[in-house]
Amino acid sequence: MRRRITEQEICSLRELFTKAAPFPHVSISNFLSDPNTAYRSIQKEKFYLKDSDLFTFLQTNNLQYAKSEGMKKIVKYLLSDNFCKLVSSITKVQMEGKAVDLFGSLYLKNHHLLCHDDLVEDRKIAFILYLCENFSVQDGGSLALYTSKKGHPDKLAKKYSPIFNSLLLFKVSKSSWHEVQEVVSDKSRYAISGWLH
Amino acid sequence: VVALINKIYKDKLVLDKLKHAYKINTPQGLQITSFLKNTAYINLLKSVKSSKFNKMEIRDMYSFFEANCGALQIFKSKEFISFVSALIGKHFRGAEYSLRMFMHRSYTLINDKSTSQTPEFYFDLTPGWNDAWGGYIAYITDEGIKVITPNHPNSIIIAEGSKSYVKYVNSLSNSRGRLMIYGRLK
Repeated sequence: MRRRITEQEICSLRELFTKAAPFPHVSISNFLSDPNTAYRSIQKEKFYLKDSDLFTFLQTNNLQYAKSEGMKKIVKYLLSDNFCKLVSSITKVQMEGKAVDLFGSLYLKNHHLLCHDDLVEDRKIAFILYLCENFSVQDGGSLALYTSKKGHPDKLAKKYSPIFNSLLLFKVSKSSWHEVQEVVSDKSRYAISGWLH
Repeated sequence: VVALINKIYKDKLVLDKLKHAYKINTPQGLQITSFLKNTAYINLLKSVKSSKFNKMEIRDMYSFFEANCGALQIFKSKEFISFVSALIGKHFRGAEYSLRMFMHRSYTLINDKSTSQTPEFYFDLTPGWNDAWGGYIAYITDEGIKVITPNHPNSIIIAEGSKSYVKYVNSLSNSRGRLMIYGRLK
């Protein structure tokens, strides 16, 4: 399902993760071995509008109940011990179980998710697998990471524009302030997001 | 003292209807259109346009521009406080308020302090605003019912007991801003 990641690459990713600012995170490029199947599969999923004070975007139901064979394979891998072990070896965070929450998201023009920390229940690691065409800074839709000051987000520290088939991991804590900036082009920002507990 | 509130709302029968609506609406409150007399509204609009705004931001709570100006004193005038006291059926001593402008990327979020023990109000000062740009005022009740209030210049929303927010203003707004006065009765 995923491409082969060597021990040497894991060591390198671990170092990047640990030293990353403003909080531990890392982006792994070319993550899936067959991303085009995944791309086609996510486009077949049914998305529902989610709208509140914090966000506007489209989301699937829990992907554990996905119906397409292509999506079932991806979900099976993301819920597997192998994926959990890989993430654990990169982040040095011991997980108690596999990913339980797994959703597809779709951000269209003007969709956004304002700054929050993801700290719900016992989430330890958040992951985002981008399954959209590459975004440039001008397209918006970047994942923006903020420093933390006195319990609130402070300064913008880093921005990641979605890159097709990249997996971004970050450690969830009371200082993991992040947002999905408004999409300002007509591109469709598809991704699969989940949390390891 | 010049009367500023549209005289129709001083009529006893109209006021009784408003009082009833305030009590029965979910969330508790109401929106009153053409609230100020037209001349009072136009004068207020002229006065606030020269205000100097400062950015107010705690990113996980709010981001907007705020100003204060003398013309806002309408909202602590005896006339206004008497009107809202009669409407709500409680005695208020005054109000605290500020002028807010919501431009692209402005918003307020619901937080632990969003439900006030005292009624809050929003007075709309923006002609030609389009809700597709965001910047609308929404209320969420404890039961999760969401009510989006229509934008309407020279209207006032008075509500209590529910949580309100101003939706993120998106890039479709270009450089336009939504002006409103936000206040709380005390």
